[in-house]
Amino acid sequence: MFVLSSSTEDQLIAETARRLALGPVDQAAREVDRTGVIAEGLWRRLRDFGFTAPVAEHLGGTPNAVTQLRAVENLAYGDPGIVGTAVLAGGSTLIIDAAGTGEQRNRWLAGVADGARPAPAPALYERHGLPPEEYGTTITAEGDGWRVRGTKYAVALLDGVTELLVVGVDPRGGLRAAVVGLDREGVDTKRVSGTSHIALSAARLSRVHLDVLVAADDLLGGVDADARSLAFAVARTRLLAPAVALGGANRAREYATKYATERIAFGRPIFDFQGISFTLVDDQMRLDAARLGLLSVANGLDQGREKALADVGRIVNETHAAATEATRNAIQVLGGHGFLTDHPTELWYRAAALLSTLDADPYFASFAPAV
Amino acid sequence: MTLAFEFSPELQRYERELKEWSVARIRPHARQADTDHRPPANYREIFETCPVKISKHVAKGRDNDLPKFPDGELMRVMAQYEGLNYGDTWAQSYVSGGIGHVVVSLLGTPEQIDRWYEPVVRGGGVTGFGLSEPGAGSDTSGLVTRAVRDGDSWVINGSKIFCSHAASAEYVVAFAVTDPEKGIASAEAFVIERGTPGLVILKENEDKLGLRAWETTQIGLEDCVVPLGNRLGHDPSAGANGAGGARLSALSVLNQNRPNVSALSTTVAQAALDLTGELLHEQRLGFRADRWSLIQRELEGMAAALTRNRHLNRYAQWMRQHDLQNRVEASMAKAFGPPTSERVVRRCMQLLGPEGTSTELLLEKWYRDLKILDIFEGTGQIQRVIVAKDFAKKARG
Repeated sequence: MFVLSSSTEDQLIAETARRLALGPVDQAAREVDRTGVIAEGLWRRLRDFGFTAPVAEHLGGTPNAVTQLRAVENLAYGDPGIVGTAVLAGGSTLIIDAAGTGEQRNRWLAGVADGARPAPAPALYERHGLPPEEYGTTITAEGDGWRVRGTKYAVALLDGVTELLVVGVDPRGGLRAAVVGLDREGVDTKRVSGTSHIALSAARLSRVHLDVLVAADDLLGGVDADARSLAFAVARTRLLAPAVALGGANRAREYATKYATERIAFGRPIFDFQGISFTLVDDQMRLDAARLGLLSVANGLDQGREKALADVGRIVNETHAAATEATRNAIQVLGGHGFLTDHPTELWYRAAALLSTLDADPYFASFAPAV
Repeated sequence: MTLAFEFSPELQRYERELKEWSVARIRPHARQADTDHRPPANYREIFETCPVKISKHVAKGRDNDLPKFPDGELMRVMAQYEGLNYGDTWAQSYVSGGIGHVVVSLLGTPEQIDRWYEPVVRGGGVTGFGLSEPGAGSDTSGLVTRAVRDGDSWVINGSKIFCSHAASAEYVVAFAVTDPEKGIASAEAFVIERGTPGLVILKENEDKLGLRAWETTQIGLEDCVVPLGNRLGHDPSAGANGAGGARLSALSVLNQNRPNVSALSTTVAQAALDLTGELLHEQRLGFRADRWSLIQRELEGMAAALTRNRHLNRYAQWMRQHDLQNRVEASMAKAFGPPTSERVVRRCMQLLGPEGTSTELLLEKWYRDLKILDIFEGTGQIQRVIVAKDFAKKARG
């Protein structure tokens, strides 16, 4: 049976997210981009909302991937830069909650939901769009401990954080994760201050080199961890960046449409010209298809379907392709005005570009000329 | 007959020398120029080190000191665009020097050309041009800036946006309607010299996504009084003659720069692709064989796309070089090249991963720079309208 209706609870969550998006998130967007700082009040509201750094439902977090995706997309409608920062910084809670032991959840998540302490910073992404099972980071038994060796990219918000959650592979190719103290010998973080990337300036993305020995109880789930639970949690986390991109791209499409219906040229609104309106319609078709694909995969993950795991890479890349194109077309519709910081279109264009680089697997996307 | 799709060996050497110099002397200033929103203070000294002579203006046949190539001067200009901008885009703003004086050369009387064009060409000054207004971009019929004859003067009121170089220009050439009832048909061009009372710089340089070192100025014209002789084109003692539409049409010559804009986008994308290729080759040991094969295919696909850009750009330019009507071909080159160049840079960033968007590299800057090239000098949509109208005209006989 084909069902896409939302529960009342999901609708309420989505509406709350949209209100936050159009209120404090939208209002802070330009300032956050300029200063690279998300004010504590806004940060608290995002944390309290519970969907950017989710923990188990009984701790006030999100019950499933579908609900979370809807919430994150609606939130990113306000600003993909701010919400992208929150999502990149918050991803470890979900993984620890899903794959950690009870003792580990207490150790690493206690006090996180109420802001008393930060969760370990998630260190997932590597270069060249490698999927988790091909990560170059290895977690290997060595003596009484485990050696974590590799390089991670786009690690967000290290300031104030004391630990990293590192996802890698063991010698058999299975996923492993370990929590590593940032002050441990063998952890080299290349921190970059200020606006160091094209967007998400508040995330202060870092590159982290690791060659460090950790204890067995720092392995997520312990030595006999359930790799499948970890794989599902990591997969769910990978869907968040495209959900953010989707939210920003939808906003860009709507913004450009409004502009086009108001801007008069050659005696009529420019939306009346098919070169404008069809472009926007094409964008929305791609975005809707991407959203349904994301929700389908998220739903599969919620159901524990293996196929959903295999589908993550493709839908992530398709969504980013749709979002990057929609945000560039939004600028195009505004013409020279869209190129100015007077309008937010350029913010969304930059954010979509950065998010698209996190997980760009050439197996699922290839270069295509524009014409 | 054998066809040739490359520049002559001499022109290839010229372009190569320019590229190498641009990488060595222009590129190191790219990040700072982007941050400062202006070229480096010593840009004139930098240009003095250029090993080949380059033109500051694109007006055909004006500079006899430039090297001659069998390909022709306009092909040299395209080679200059490709060579110079390979290092970075900031240098182009210095080289272009604005187009106000070019408009003078197109619309001015011989006396006006002697007064406002020749000194700029000889001395290398900067001039501004004001056509777009807040409510009038691609469609100039919406111009509302007004010029009113008052005895021996014109009094101009209105505002202009997207005026390249206007804040530092010796003068701005601004269009204004002289008869609201006739609208755009009464538009005239006026030379407004720096310091003229009523010429107000509202915003020296817009905050832009990219091309930040290119000065993009907003000006206000508040009871700005200029002598009759500052109206371009005809007897300063006569009134407006209602030939404004024709005057704007004369500006279509400026559109002939469109293939060069596409060439600019293409060479920046080529720079991004070359840099990405180098970085990926350095990282090759980290790739599995099947993944490396994919990467190679991506790089080859992008290189082929840029070659297609170049073919269209050079074809359109070659037509103009041989005095063939190239309006359609110029529009096609302009519509075709920039959006694909933009995609090449985006794909390069994606292949490198998150660090591809880091400010440690220039890819993210070039991605921001390129976006406007599908917009200024006519959006991709406007170019398609031009081409489509031509198709229809021919189809209908």
